[in-house]
Amino acid sequence: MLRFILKRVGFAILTLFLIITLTFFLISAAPGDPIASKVGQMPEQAQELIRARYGLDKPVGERYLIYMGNLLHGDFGESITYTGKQVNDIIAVNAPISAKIGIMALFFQIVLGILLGMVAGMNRGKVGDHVIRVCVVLAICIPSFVFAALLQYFIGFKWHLAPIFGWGSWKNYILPVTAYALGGIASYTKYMRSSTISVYGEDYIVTAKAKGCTKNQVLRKHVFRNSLIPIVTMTGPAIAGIFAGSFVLEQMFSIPGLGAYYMKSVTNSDYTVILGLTAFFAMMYVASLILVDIVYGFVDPRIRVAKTGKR
Amino acid sequence: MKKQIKMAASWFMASAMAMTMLAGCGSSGSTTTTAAGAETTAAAGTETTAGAETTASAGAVTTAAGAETTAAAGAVTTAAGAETTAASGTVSADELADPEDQIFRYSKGSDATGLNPIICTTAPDNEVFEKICEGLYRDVTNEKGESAQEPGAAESCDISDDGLTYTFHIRPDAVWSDGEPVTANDFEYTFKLMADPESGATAGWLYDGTIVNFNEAMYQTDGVKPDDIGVKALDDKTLEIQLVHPCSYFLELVSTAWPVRQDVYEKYGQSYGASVDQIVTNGGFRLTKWEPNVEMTYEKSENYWNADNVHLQTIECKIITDTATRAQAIISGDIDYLGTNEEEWVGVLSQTPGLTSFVSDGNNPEFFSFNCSNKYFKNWKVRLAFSLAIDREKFNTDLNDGTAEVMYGLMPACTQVGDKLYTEAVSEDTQIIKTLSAQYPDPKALLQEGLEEEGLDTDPSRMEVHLATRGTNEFSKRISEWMLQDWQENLGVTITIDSMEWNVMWDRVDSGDYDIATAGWGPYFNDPYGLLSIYDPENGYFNSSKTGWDDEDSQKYHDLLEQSIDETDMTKRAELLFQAENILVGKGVIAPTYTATSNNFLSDKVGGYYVNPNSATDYNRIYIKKQ
Repeated sequence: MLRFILKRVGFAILTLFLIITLTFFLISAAPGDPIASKVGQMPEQAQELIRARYGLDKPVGERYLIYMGNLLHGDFGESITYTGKQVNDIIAVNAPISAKIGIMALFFQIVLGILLGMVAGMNRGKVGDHVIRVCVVLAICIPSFVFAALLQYFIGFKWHLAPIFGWGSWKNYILPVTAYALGGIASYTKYMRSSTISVYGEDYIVTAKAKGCTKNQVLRKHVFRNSLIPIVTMTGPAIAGIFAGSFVLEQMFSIPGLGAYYMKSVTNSDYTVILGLTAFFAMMYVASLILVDIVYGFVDPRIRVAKTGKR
Repeated sequence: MKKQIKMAASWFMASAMAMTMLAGCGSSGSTTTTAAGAETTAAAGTETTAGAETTASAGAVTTAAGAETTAAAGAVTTAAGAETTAASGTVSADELADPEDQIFRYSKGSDATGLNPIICTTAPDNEVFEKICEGLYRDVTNEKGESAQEPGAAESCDISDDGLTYTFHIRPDAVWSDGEPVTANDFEYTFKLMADPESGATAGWLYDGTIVNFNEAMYQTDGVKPDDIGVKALDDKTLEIQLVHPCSYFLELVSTAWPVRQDVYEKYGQSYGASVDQIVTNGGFRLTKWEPNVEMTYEKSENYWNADNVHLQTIECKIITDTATRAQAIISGDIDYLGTNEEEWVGVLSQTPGLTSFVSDGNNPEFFSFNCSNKYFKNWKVRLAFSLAIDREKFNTDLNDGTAEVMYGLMPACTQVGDKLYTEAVSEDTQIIKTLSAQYPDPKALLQEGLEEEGLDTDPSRMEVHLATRGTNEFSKRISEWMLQDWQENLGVTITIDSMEWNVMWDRVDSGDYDIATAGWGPYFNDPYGLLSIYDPENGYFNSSKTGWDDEDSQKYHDLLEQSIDETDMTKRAELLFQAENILVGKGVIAPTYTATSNNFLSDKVGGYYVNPNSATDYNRIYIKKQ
């Protein structure tokens, strides 16, 4: 197991290196100038001074080496747009805000998704199942920002039940978390439903029932655990998504997460911020994949056995 | 091609973020909104918010308007049309609400990039500094709704007869937020910092060619040091500035030279202005709280020299990116002011009880810029034909709901020469294109004449011309498609539309890689020179290496501009500048189209809200009315 983890971590580092390198050169090759927003339409000679101030007068190769050198020390560099702001600080201050929304949403997604999915699966073909299925299709098809706009309009604007923008009070979580969670709840419900149905058809369930297990026991011991595999697969990447999944919503609700910085950095070609955030998201993603592999082992002993067997 | 690279890059980054199906849904959504959010600015005008925030200094902005109406070149001539009383700034006490109710709340689309006035000079930054800092003079709105210069940190200024020496007398009662007196040395230090190439100052270039030795110090020529510039504190309260040329708009220029104090600036170094504790300020308000991307809170500065006439106790600025959210915020009474040009909301907000709406004029003309090294456009008749073929009234009706200022020359109506409006200072009709249309009633014939002169195929339908857009949003698309149709109908030319982001377009202009570019410009000071100098073939932004304009007309143009710099008689100066404009527009180097106006919505409880043609809002005059 340890060897397996070490190997995965090794690959992860290589992946990150490739992502950062590729991103760096892609940004350099892409049109757009990081200081454009700063210099506006200054005379060229004056622009050169500013360019030199931010080290942009150096050739791409040299800038890459400097950047990678700093990165080895864990330094993502300084934002060009936001003068004097360190990318590390941007991540440290704003990532937790994005994460709070993401984690809350993920929590509701998993809990409600599993619950609704099992209810639907066990009541296959009945009214409850149909109602849930219709809602699921709707919730999957409608993008979260449409939900957000509807929630803002009705709950916030018309009925004054929650603030439509801002940050600081617990009330500010209500609308964005709801908007973010809805689509996910639907997806989890869908997967949980089909896996519940398929597990229900397995022979071992018949055996368990024949042995005299109560409906409750069957559900807890057999159906629930065996249906979890697809949920774990989905949750892994969703963990990475908790930092980045709510960008649009952050914009709409004026939440000071990473979203505002990421969007602005891309439009302004603020490459230190783009790189820093991209590397950060990539790290989260790779880490969550490793995590999923480990969790698989706990949920499904067969996978653990198969993997050790190979080695 | 380049666009594809950028697309590829953004897709790569999106996939690097690598989300699940559902998070992925969010991500692709987010890409869309970036576009929307970042470039919207929407409707009546402009293609780039980024543009709006771009730029330096005087609040002048390339592209501006839209999203940042308050701050950017959204500008206003009519001043707050809503308010006619109290233009002079005095409000009687019984009109005012109680001090604890003197809270003004508004919203902006973008946060400031920092609080260091030397290196943070984008529109959202200037919008902060105009409240918390005070230059030697203040740029305010006079009774006629025009821009006027009023003493600020200086109580008066003596200008020598040749217009080359400005002596400012600093107020005895002007103090910094920490109680220290404001001195002439502080301003001397500030100007020297701006002239220092090491400082990364983004507004210094405005004084290059204006203040003695400024250019030399910035570009380190002839061993000139920042210490040698023509700015000198004669004593604690007297500052002398020596100019190279008489400059009728100099007081306006220095109104955005927000001072910093040496001891504090050096104490914090690179991190000066990174937070509200790391600055000292001298304006009517102090920034007491800054939560990035959420809110800025300002409190009245009690030791400000004119504090008795400042009414507001608190100003709250909420950062709300999404226009729909901002609109809902003003309707629900969460904010008191909103500037927006998004059609869907303009209609709704105009009908909302409790809100007063007024339209403010812009100072940033939109125009098409022709690449004169192009085989067609090197002929002025071809260029002019393209310009004359634009049905500007219809353009305005179709694309701007008839709200924009239609441009038959380059100068927006608010342009001033000295203290006179440009249109009044010039004896001839400044609507150059109208005059030319009478002279050349058939643009197509003019086009063919030009093509023949160049020995080219005279069939316009076989011309191959590309139009570079400035932005990829809905409004940019509508403009380019409208132009495609217009030129097809009136000239028989079928253009190809190259849709690109605003910064990509400016890159193309820089490298001369365009046929027609959708350009726009917000001047840094209110004077025709501010707009005309950008096409100076030698040192303008659109110099001849970018525009390919290097014939004898361009030489004449350059000479006229040079002459205008040294001219102290404002009437003669206006004539010189008009002659130059007549070449630029008359020879079709550019085709001005419109200047966007902005729609403003203000809560009825707010009084004294003025915006001047240079976009600055005078917060010292705003007050909350007694209910």
